[in-house]
Amino acid sequence: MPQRTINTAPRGNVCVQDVNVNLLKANDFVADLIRRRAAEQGTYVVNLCSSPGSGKTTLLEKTAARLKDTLSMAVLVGDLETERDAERLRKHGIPAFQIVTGGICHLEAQMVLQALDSLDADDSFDLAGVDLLVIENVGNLVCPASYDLGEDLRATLIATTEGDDKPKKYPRMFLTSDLMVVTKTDLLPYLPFSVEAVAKDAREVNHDLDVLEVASISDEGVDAWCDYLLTRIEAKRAALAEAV
Amino acid sequence: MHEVSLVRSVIASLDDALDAEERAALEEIRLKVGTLSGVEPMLLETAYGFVVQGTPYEGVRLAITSVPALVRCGTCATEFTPVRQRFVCPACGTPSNDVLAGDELLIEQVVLADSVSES
Repeated sequence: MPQRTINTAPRGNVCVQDVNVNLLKANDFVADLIRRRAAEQGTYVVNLCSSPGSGKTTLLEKTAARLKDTLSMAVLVGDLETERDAERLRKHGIPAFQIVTGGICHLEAQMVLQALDSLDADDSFDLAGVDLLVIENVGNLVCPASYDLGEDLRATLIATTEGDDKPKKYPRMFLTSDLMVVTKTDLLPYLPFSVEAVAKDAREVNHDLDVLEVASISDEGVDAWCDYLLTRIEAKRAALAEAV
Repeated sequence: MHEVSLVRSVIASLDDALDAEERAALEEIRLKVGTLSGVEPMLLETAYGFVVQGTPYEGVRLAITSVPALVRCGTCATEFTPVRQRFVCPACGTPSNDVLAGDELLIEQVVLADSVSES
């Protein structure tokens, strides 16, 4: 196995000590705290990932409009700078809270837990009443793949405008996702993008991956996406009720 | 990229795992980085060089072993390394995500100057 070292070999007598610590251990520990808290409160958590500009916020605006009479939804939005996405969502009456990462290209469980703690301390908002919590990750198909945020569902969006070669270019993202949503399908007539090809590539990486198609602007597929979420929210509730 | 975050967690983990004497004797940190981990060893080395400047870890070597992906077929038990990100058994054609190796991000070992174990 190739081994690269920065400097020269050790001089003199040394002792090699086993450590065997997973570098993501701290993140995974906090993610489990979030998972337990969400289970106690009966909240279903979605980690929404994608490249920048593939339509996460627009899909959530449509989701909010479709589900507002059915359930209570809240959104945590991760972004390098600005509150813009959260402001867009608030206009639709969804409690939306921005996590400004200040240049960090992904969300870590600790950032989510801190956001949840500060929301708990805020009397105007009750997390325990939230049925669906969506964490909109930073637009990036690389780094978010490594960080468990305690979610029940990891959904990755891929827009038809991005090209259909993404699953093989960013395999870890698709390997760790439960669902791939192809967005902007209303543009398919104008683009050299094949939903069949992208689904085939993605399932070569992860054969258990579910695939949905959505055109948020024209509402096409939004119902199917919302039903997909509702089915899983119900299943989680049933499982939690059985465990009690 | 998240390499800087990972270097910080290397340091936090070792602050935790080693006592003061061991940290003083630390000569080398040995990491295992899987090819499926999404981490580029070269960027990790660069990030390490910058992050440890002015800390007790400055001068401590970082050795990274790259671990190739190994996947096990659930049907015929063949173990294979996916080619072109195709997680499909080359022997029987069954898809599999049973990753045996290649997704690790691990501090495997540390090398300490021998004075610690003798004293």
